[in-house]
Amino acid sequence: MSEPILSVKDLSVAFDTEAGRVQAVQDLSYQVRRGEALAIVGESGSGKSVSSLAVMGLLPKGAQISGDIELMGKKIFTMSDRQLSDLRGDTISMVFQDPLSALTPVYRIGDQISEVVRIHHPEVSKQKASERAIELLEAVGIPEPRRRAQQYPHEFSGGMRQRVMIAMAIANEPELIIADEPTTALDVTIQAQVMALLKSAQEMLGAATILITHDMGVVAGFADRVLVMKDSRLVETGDVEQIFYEPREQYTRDLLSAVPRIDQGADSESRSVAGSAMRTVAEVATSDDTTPREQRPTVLEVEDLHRVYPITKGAVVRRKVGEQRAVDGISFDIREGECMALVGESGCGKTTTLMEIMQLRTPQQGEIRIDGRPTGGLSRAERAKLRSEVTLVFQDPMASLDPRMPIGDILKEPMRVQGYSAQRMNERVEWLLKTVELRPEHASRYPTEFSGGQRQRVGVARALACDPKLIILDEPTSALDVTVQAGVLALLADLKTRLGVSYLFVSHDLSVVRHISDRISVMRKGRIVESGPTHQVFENPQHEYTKELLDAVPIPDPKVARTRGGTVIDAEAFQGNSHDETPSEQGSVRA
Amino acid sequence: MARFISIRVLTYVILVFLATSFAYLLAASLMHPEDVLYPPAAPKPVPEATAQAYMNARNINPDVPLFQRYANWLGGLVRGDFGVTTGTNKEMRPVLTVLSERIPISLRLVVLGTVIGTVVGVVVGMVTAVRRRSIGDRSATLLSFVLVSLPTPVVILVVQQINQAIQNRTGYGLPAINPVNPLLHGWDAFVYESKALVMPTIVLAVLAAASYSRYMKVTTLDVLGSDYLRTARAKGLTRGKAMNRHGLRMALIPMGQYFAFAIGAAFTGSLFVELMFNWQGVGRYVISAISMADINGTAAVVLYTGVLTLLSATLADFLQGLLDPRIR
Amino acid sequence: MTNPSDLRGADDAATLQIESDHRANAVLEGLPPSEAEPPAGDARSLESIGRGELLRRRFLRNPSAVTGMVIVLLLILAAIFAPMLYQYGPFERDLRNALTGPTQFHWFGVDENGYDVFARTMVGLRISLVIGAGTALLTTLLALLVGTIAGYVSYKGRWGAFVDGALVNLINLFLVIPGLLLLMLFSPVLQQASWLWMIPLLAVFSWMLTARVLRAMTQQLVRTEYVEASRFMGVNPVVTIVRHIIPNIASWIIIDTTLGVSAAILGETGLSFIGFGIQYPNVSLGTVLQGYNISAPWTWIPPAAVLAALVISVNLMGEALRDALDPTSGSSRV
Repeated sequence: MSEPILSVKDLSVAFDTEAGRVQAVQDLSYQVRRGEALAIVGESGSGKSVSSLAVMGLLPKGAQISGDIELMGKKIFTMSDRQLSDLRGDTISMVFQDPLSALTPVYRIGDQISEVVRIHHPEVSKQKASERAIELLEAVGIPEPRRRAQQYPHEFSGGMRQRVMIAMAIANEPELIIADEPTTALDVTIQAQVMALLKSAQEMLGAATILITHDMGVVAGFADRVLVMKDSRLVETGDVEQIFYEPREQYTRDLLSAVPRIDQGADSESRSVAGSAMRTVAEVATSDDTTPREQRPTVLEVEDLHRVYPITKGAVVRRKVGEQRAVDGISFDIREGECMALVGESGCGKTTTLMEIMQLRTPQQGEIRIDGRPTGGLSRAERAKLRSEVTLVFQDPMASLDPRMPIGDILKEPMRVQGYSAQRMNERVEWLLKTVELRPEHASRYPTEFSGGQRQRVGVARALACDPKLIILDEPTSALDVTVQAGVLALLADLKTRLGVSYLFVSHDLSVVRHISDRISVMRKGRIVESGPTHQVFENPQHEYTKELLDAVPIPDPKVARTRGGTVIDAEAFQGNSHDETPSEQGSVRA
Repeated sequence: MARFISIRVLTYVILVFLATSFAYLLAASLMHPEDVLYPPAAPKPVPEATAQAYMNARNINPDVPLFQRYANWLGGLVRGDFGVTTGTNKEMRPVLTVLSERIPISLRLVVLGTVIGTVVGVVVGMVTAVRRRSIGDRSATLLSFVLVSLPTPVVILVVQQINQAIQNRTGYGLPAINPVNPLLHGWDAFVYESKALVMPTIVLAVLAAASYSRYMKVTTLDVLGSDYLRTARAKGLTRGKAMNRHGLRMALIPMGQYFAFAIGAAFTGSLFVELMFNWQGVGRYVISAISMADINGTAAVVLYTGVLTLLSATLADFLQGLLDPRIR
Repeated sequence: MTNPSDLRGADDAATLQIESDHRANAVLEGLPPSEAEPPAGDARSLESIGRGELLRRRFLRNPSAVTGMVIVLLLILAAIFAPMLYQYGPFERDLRNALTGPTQFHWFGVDENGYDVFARTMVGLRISLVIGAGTALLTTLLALLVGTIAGYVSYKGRWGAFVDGALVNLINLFLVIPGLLLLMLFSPVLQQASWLWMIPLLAVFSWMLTARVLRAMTQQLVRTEYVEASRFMGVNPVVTIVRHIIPNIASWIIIDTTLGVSAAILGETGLSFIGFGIQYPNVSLGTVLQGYNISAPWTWIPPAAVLAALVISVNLMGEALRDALDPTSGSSRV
């Protein structure tokens, strides 16, 4: 085995906060060798990001650090900022989590990339450095790199910006690349592309890589070794196969078993323990399924729904220059006791659809019927009544509960609108809290006193408050940690069978949907491209886009994951053999 | 960018027009120039016809309907005529002439004070943010806090008192009041005028710098916590270089909005300065115009401050557009 | 712009910006939440204290806040009792002792008109305090009305956008109007009726920046999911504003009102100083300052010191409140 590039010994990091000293990392030790890919996995607050910032020497001033970090034999805690900055961006580079805020908004993309070249190689001329930036952009798969280099970050999409970050990270052929949740903010197809890009960049450079993530699926396809962290401490470390197939620690097992997976057939041959807990969710969700679908009453019908937003220009005189077809003629229906999933990537129109339904008004075109009644011709009173029958659970449980209201009042709010008596409200609050597995005593507490999963349970309870027929779930688990997500999904599945309520489950995550929904509609660019029973869509997808989506979902099994994906980095361009017509330095030599 | 600026300018022009009209109508309905001109207790009453002719000539006759007077005034404004001064002074000098004498005196103060104050404030704010919790930061922050808590007259008094003390102690000091000395000529006059400018400029600059440094510190601290600055450091820039290359420009962008109000604030400040240092500028003029019920003069000064605000707001927009490609 | 040095304005805009920028403290974000999950049992832990209580504790722990509070209380007591007990009135002339320094009879000395500086300062303090508090309350009320309405309706269709646009332009108009000049126009007319007119007059020209910030905050809140949730439950808009929006900006309003007190005092002082504020037979700190004489420092230093002590301590309290509300943002860093 080769010498370790990085060795971390007994690292502890603490911050002094108002609540006292917070230990972000405790006694963490690990090594990374040349060419090795290490994944550091943990849920939010496990200290995984802080440990990597410590390696970069980028912790905020107030941090109290002990232990040792050696980078290629040099102890970084004894180095000055100037000495460290010679390493950063050259020997060791980093890709950050949020590509939207990680680039300076006021400088051109090309200049930001060429800067990293010029910092470490001041001898390179400005001209050459910007040529190099264009080569790098091409290498990471940005079309029209010459034009794109002249643009500003706000003109790039999230995935493109993350490619730019990777271009900067590989510019000086570093020995170690740290990627901190590089794909968390991205759509699943973009995530697959970015991960493939990172992997092939690593292979091309032979650099060691540390991937920090909460997503076990991503880990399986990327890492050689895995390090699991929980509550600032190391839980377990081992080869990727060992972690996925024979985890030693209970926490690792819990973490893996809560991972939803799309390849969750009844007779999965995968040896990975991932997803075992989710199988029970699926069992609960489908157990009580006696009456055939056709004989059950329809709760929601959406017919040929359109929503067009005009694109206007001009501040004084508004003129329409085009239109954005956010929802472009979609139709579906939901029967009683059924869960339908509406799946698509960001910007596909699923949120618009959901808002159109929740408005309970006449849509621009098409019709929405609830219980057979069109929403168009409702009187004010009828609409208010209907608000109790169609309810919504929001994505972010931190934002959807008023922080200034005790839980009890939050639950009473919809009942008050419907004119429930005080006694009935109190009884129902108690029942609701029990139903979502919280305690009735919690009614007097404020949302901030609860964890994310508990708050989402309150959100579900509020949606249940007035015995609705249909609950619209807007990405109800995407803001939650994976182990918490499993619990909320189990609750939702259980409520569906117990109370006979219907769900419209809007999500971007196919693997989550797989476990809970009866039917799936896949949306893209305002249209439904494929629709059918869940197992059918998963096992036999018809539309190209559905197949693409399914292929992009990471599989939490290292053997399966490794068979997928290919090389995406343009090594030719990286070496400077640009395909661009304009002669670059080497290009002219070649000619 | 040109579009963006021109739309903003158009909005500002409309706002300034409305503000000036509003001020004229208010002044014309609240002020009673006839009382100032012909006090009821005057020993010898002026014949009615004379009084009417006198007031009509100045467009201040209260018997003429308010909107008629407004229309007259507006008509004059379009031709570049701001009317004539009224009040106890019966000279009937065109307001425009009076203003053109006084604006250079005021503007010298305002521009110099604002520019020095802004530059000092931005530098101090940034340095205190970067060297947070150092002794320099603590003392600068405390000083700016005290300064923004003091009324302008008190700041002027402190500066004057210090000057006085120095003069008493050493026999040497800056001219306490008056911007010009009519007894001096040539080089001596220039030296005197420059010296006379020092204290008023210090007052205005210190006041501007105090509030600017506070804003700048907040925006700089925001930048220091930003992801892109972390990226810049991850690229291999040292703390200082990352701040200079990436942070400074980002921190200056929100400052543009504060700058839009700076000139207006400086005008208010200059009013006290002119009063207490006996400068014959616009501020002093408007104080006397209002106390003498000079409607035309008051409206003209409102227009002047409006145009100043408009110019500084446009300049702020322009600077912001230069700094930030996102709003171009 | 109205008041010679409005401490609030831009500061608050910056605060708002930080509040809206949750990523401001990216690294600490990843730390475990300081508040532990509520224990399964019933024992009310330390974490479950209310927000108001937390604010109070943080405020009282801040030494500058307590200093500010003590000084303000002392000044209020002085303003109430000193004029009752002191032997001279604000308009009693002692021309024989004109321009003499502090003595045991004239604590702060006598100015060139023979007025006792201490007597005038204490009476002036009284009026300045009343005007400061009254104006701040009224300003907040005006700003609250315009700000929340404009913010709430701005996303409610074409009609809402129109109302919002009209209100925003009203704010801008008042910002362009040179408030000081208009105050100078109005004040002498209204002073003839009562000095209390100063309060609404100052308020009318100082609500704009607060309204602008409140509008932005309301807009943010309207877009939050819990306000949207109440809309989808069919809750009436007025109820939504009262139950969800105002409680969530309440602490900010309190802070702004506190800082508004000092801004109003500064504004009133400036106006009175140039002779357009409080008129005879009343005295404010500004009118006392007006009788300054550089060669007799006691004519201006006592009123200036009282004024500075008052404004500085009110500002200390305001900033300490802001720190208590949100330790990561705003003035705690200034």
